[in-house]
Parts: sequence; structure tokens; C-alpha cells
Amino acid sequence: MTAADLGLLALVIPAATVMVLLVGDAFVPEGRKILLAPLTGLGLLCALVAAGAAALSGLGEPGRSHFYFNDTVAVDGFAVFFQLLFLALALLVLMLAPAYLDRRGIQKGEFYILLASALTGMMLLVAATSLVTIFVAIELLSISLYILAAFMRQQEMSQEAGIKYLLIGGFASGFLLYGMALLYGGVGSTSVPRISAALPHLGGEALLLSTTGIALILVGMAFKASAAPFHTWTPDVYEGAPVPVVAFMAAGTKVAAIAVFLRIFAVAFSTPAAYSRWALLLGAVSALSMTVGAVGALRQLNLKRMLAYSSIAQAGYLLLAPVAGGRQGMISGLFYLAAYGLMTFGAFGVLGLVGSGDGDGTVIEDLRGLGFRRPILGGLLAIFMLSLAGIPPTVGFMGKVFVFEAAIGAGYVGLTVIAILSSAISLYYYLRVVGVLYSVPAETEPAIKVAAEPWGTSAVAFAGALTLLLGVFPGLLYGVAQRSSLL
Amino acid sequence: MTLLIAVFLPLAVATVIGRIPARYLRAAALLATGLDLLVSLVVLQAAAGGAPLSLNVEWAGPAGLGLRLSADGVSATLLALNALVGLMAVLATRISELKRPHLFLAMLLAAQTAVAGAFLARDLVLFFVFYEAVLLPVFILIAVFGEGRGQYVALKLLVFTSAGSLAMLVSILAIFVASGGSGSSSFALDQLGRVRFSAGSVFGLGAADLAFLGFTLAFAIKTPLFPFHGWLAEAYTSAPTPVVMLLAGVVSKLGPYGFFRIAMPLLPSAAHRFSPLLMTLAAVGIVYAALLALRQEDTKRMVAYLSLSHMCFISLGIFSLTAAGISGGVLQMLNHGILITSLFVIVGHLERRLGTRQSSQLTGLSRGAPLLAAVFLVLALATLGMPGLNGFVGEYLILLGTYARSWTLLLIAAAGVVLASWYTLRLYQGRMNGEPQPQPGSAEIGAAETGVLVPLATMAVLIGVFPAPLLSLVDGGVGAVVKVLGGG
Repeated sequence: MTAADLGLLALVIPAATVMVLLVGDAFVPEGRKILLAPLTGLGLLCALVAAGAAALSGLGEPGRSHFYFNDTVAVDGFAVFFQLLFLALALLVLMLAPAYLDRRGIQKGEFYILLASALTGMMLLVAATSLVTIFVAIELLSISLYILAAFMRQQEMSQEAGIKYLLIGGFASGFLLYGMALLYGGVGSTSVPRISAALPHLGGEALLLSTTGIALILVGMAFKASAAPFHTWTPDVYEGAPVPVVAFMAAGTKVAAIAVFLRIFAVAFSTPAAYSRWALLLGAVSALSMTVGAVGALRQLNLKRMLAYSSIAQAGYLLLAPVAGGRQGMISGLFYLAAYGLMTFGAFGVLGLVGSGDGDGTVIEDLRGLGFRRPILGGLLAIFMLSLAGIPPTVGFMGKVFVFEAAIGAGYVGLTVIAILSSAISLYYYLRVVGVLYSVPAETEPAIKVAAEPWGTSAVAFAGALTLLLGVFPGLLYGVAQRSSLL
Repeated sequence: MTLLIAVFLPLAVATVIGRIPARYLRAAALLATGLDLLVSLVVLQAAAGGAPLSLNVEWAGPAGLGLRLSADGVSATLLALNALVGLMAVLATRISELKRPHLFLAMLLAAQTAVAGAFLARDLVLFFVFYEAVLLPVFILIAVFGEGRGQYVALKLLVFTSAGSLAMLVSILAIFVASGGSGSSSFALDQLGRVRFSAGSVFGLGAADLAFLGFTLAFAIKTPLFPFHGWLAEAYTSAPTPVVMLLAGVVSKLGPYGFFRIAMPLLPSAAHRFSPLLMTLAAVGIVYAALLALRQEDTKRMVAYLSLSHMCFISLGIFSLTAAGISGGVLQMLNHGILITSLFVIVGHLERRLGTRQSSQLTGLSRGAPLLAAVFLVLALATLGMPGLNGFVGEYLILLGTYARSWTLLLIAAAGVVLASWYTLRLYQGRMNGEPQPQPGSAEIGAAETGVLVPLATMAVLIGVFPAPLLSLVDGGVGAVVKVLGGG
């Protein structure tokens, strides 16, 4: 079995896990569905081992891909890098979720099935090299997440989140599919490598068709990455959906969408003429996201909504990597995406552990003094806030440094200045949370309920430890990113 | 290795301090800072002996980052100052009066490590990391332990300084890219050498000028330089005494030091271009802050503006780009560090003992407090630049450097010196002489304050009488920078 086969196996195992869970769910009696959690975990661990083995046994050759299934799926360092990240995130979510579901009385087998299928979608998406596969992967992950967002059926907020996500997400899928159809019309192929080879030689109507197609695909993907001006669903969905779901979706979906930008746009569609067109468009989306996200987050009182706006701003920073393009853009993108996944999971994970009794309306003021009452959780949340704000010595800071460096190196100084201004604004809302964590609570306030959950706490603590470790020793992750780069 | 210990010893103790029982807390912190001072003196000794210590270790090699530290005369002097102020800040901390002494001391120690790292770093990103890392403990110290609207003040300080830092980050990255792209380049200061930017300009400013302005914004806010001082008065008044000692004593030095170590040698032509503007701002700041100091009724605020005026004076020397001016500026950083920390200790002591900071209620205190009066007199005279005390040497050199550049600015700065005598004497005479108020007790200093003030006052005298060894120590580091600037 070659390294590439191992990589493919890592992709197949989660899909198989979904099947096993579907059948297994029927045999687990109601009320004991929590048993499905270790089962899912076992499947994902197997996949993690396979992906890790693939990465260690020589997939790390930059720029070399192995194609499978009639050239629709690529196995390479790039795909495995993200697959490892998604598997790790899913496992962390799996440590966090069971206790949360128990507390809310929604311990159902479907949760684990849908989590695994969303994961499969993400893992397929970063490996897809055909327009059709990309679409299938996106739908697989989106449909699973629509249902998961509405998983707290008894609550209006959660229903609203699900419906809103479904309607707007469906709309985005429409854009995506129409764009793919136009691109196919222009080039005559759905295979990304073939499109890439044909693009420089197009002219006339074909050029018009394919350019429009690429623009529409960009819009569709920007929806998934919740980049402005396609971000409007984000705050409501993040606020209403169950926290473990948000942790997975905020970290995973966005990373997967940006990874598509990196693989498809920054590499396949990077022939000079076509490149400049969409890079300009994507640069505008990035600038708008940074601005809208930073300004929107300023006024939020609810931490989940604040994090939603902050994730819009983060999408802007993340998009700098594909805009910058080239090897440096790719490496910095890989680095910051991994960093983003970690710290976003961590921030929402802490929220999942401190959520107040009814719903997840985590008002920032409720956290007052948490840093003293629960030093570990408070400290972890503070670390994630600092990392998101980009303050050393955290991995978020290093990620920003590398991404900004790539953007400046590619000549996008103006865009970097906007990013810096947005970061400056963002300091206010991130650090306000830190300030609240470490301030003395008024005597009359009821202390917010904090459940003791060893599994969830250790999942979040793991993310926190990595956030600090990779901030102090960025070389560890940077080296891996270098080896996983497509260029 | 010695350098690593000098930088990270306080942080190492800070991480375990939570486990130390409250009884031994003070002893542990004193031991840590005392040891750190000893190690820093070893580093200083090496620099004085002409063999400065340095360290160059791979940190994140592929990304061009390295753990590069070096302690030439200037860095070693400031490192020693940092350790000294750290020790004094712990001495001045009243453990029993704090609600969360563990957190307080841990943050003080963490801040000490960050500042020490920034003074020694010879890698742009490493410098930035330490420079930014200072903010965090300071933020918590003010937000949690500050008086009044501590949280608001801390947030304001943080947003102000971080905004500047981000501008610096753009400049750092621009320099990195301009120095050879991402092929095999590094952020090491000595390898960056002369940065060559591509031609082209915006509003008549070349890329080098813009990069210099990015640094300027960061360092001018940190110093702070007029008109970027909006955060200063509130932060200094709100912070508890040990914290303000740290802020005014060493953290503020990062501004002028950054100009000296990073911005000016890397971008000499831009430094020459903006030198007149920066000197003017500094000179205006000296007088402006002096006038503000004269008007304050709150003594702590008065000392805060006094500090601002002196920091502008230091900046004036650095911006003169002459050997004399820069040496004077660096020397004055040390002097100001010694003097301003002791003045804040006195103000904090009076407030604690007599329950007020209002000038009108603090008069005639010398009667029951001869020791305080004596020490305060020495410190006040040193602050106003009396010959024979430490403030004079630096001030004289700065004026010399300014004279080489501009007569007008020299006159303005000289006016600042006159005003300095005025506000310093008003501070001293107003408190110590005059009609005594009915007070709850004597204003005499206790053992803790004596332990802080007497050594500092002694140093003020010693440096004033024998400035030569220090000057020769500083001159080595300054000479290298002036050489680069001369060629610009």
C-alpha cells in the first residue's frame, strides 16, 4: 500500500463510519445514544492514523498529487494537511458534544451520523479536483450542517438558525452550480486540471462564459466562507445553533472553503490573465469582510454573535492568502487556517462549557469574573481571545505575521493596511472580553452555571495548549505547512 | 545562556508563583528579581569588558525567525535598569494590601521578562513579540488592580499602543520583503543591513519613509511623544505604585530605544528626513508637558506630566542623530528610570500614609519626616538637572546634540530646563516646606520605602559624580548606530 493509498483510505474511513453509524443507530436503544460517541470516535481515530501515516510516509512532496476516481479526487500533502486538521477538530468536537447534548436533552443518534457526514464532506472538498466532486462535497457538508444547526428542535432560535442557513445556503449553492455550468459551457470539461490548461487559450464567448462562471463560483464559495457581502446569515446561525455544531462549522466549513480558494483559485486558475481578474474581486471581498466584521463585532453584547462577526473579519484575513498567491501565500494560508481552526474551536468550546441553562445566550457580561472563579476555563478563553486578536505569543499572531508578509510580498500593501486597521479595531472587542473575564463581579449577580466536564475541558485545554505551543515554536507548524504546500 | 536566564528568569518564577504560599510570596519575588539583577550585572560586566554577550539560536528557521539576543553597552545598561526597577517594584509592593497578590506579582514578573527581551532582541519579529507581550501583563495589572476606571483606562492604553504596534508590523514586513524577498532572508537585524526599497512614492514619500513612519507611530505612542500622549495621564494615575514604576521607569523607554535600535539604523535616510519634524515635536512636548505639570493639583498627575516632559527630552537627544545627543539620550533613559520610579514611590507613599494626593492638603511634611525630606531633596535636585547629580550629565549631552542641529530648538529645550526647575521645586517645596496641615500621622518613610529610595538616591549621586564609566559603556553601542546614520 503506497502513501497515496493510505491518504485515500483516510478519506474513505469517515464515509464508512457514517454507514456503520446509520446501521448501529438502529440497535442502540433510546436513552443510550451516547454509546455512539465512542463508536464515532473510533472510526475517526482510524482515519486519523491513516492520514497521519500517509503524511509521514512521504506524501509531503510539494506539488505532487496522486489522482483517483477518474481524476476527480487528488491525494497530496495539501489534502492530507486539511484532512488531519478536520479529523482533529471533529474528534475535539466529539469530546465536547455528548455532555452538552445530555444537558440539553437532545442526545440523539443523528447527531453523530450528521457530524461524520459533514466531516466526510469537508475532507472530500479539500481533495476534490472536479467541479462535480466539489459540488457533491459541498452539498454533503452543507445539508448535514443545516440539520445540525436546527438540532435543538424545541427552541425557536435553533429552528431559525437551521431555516436561515438552509435558505441562504441553498441560494449560494444555486450560484455555485450556475457558475460551474457556465464554466463547463466555456471550457467543455469539469476537470479542474483540464480547465486550468484550457483557460489561457480561451477567447471570445468562451472566455466570457468561463470568466462569469469563475466569478459565480467565487460568490458561492464566499457564502460558505461567510465573507462579506455574503455573510448575513452568520450571526443568526451562530447564535441559534448548538455550540458544538457552531464550533465545528465555524472552524471546519470556513477552513474548507478557503482551502478550495487556495487549491482551485490560487493554483489551478492562476494563469496570469485569468488570475488578475478574480484576485481583484477576491481582494475586494477580503477588504469588505475585514471592515464589516470588525465594525459589526464592536457593538455585540452576545459573545456568540461577537464571535460570528469576528469570524467574518477572520475570513477577510484568511482570504489574503489566496489573494497573495504563490508559494508564500500558500504556506501562510495553510499556517493561518490551522491556527484559525484551533482557536475558533477553542473559543466556541469554552462557550459550550459555560453556557447558561436555557439556550446558549451567552451574554458577555455573564462571564464577569470567570477568570477568578474558574481559572482554567477563564484562562483558556482569554488565550483564545488573545490569539484571535493576534497578540504574541500565540499562534494567531504568527499566522497574521505570515499572511501579512505574503500579502505585502505580493504587492498588496493597501489591502494589508486595511487588514492592520481592522486588526486594530478588533483589539477592542477581543480584549473587552478578557477585561470582563478578569474583573470583579458584583455581589448580587448570580454566578453563571459552569458544569464540570472533564472530556470537554480537556478538549479545549488541548486546543489552548497548542495555541500557545505553536505561538512560541511556530517552526513546528510552519515546516509542516511548507511540506504540504501545493507550489 | 546567561542572556536567556536574564530574560526568562522572572517569567519562569511567574509561572510557578501561584503555588507559593502567601507568606513566602514576597521573599520569592524578591529572590527572583534580585537574582535577575545579579545576572543582569554579569551581562553588564561583560559588555563593559568589551565582550558583549550574544546568542543566536534557531527558532522557526524555515520562516526566517531566530532567537537572536545581544547585549551591547546600551542594551546591557537598559537590561540592568529593567532588573533594578523590577526589584524595586517588588520591594514597593504591599502584599498584605492586595486582593490577589499572586496574580499581581506574576504579572509584574512577566512584564519584566517581556521588557528585558525587547531590550536584547536582535531580530525584528522577536523584538515585536516581546514589545507586544509587555502590554498583556500591564493590561491585567491596570484592569484588575487599577483604581477608578481601571478597566476603561487599561483598554484605552492597550488600544492606543497596539494600534501603533500594528503599524510597526507593516513596516517590519515591508522591510523583510524589501531586504530580499522570502527566499533565504531573515529578520535578523545585523543581516538586514541597508534595506533597498523599490522606487516610487506616495505624496512625495518613498517606501522607506513610509516604513519609518510606521515605526514612528508605534514608538511615539509608546514613549509617548507629543501629541500621542492621550493615554498617559489616566494610565499613570490609575496604576498602583509598583505598576507605574514599571510603566514610567522602563516600559516607556521602549519608545526611544526602538527609534535608536530599529528605526534609525535600518532606515537612515528616512531618519535624516524626519529628524527635524521629530525634534520639533519633542521640543514642543518638553514645554507643553512642563506647563501641564505646573497646573496639576493631583501630585501623581503632576509627576506623570513631569515624566512626559523628560521623555520628550530623551527623545530630543535621540532624534538629534548626533553622537552626543544619542549618548545623552541613552544615559538619560537610565537616569530617568531611576528618578521617576523613586518619585512615584514617594507620591504613592504619601497617598497611602496621608490618604490624599491633593497638593493643597500635602504641605509642611518635612517636620516629622527628616529622612524623607533629605532623600526627596536629592532626588528633586537630580530631577531638575543639578550639576553633580545624575540628571545633569545626560541633559547636558542632549543639549549639546541639539545645539549641533538647531539654535531654535536649543532655546525651546533650554526653556524646558527652566520650567523643569520650576515644577520640580514646586513639587518638593510644596510638599515638604510651608505650613503643616493637621495630619493623621507622620509622613516619614517606612522600611520598605527606605529600601527603595536610599539605594536609588545613592545611585543618583554616584552616577552624577562618576559618569565616565557609564558613558564609555554606552558610547560603544551608540558609536555603531551613529556610523550607520552618518553614511545615510
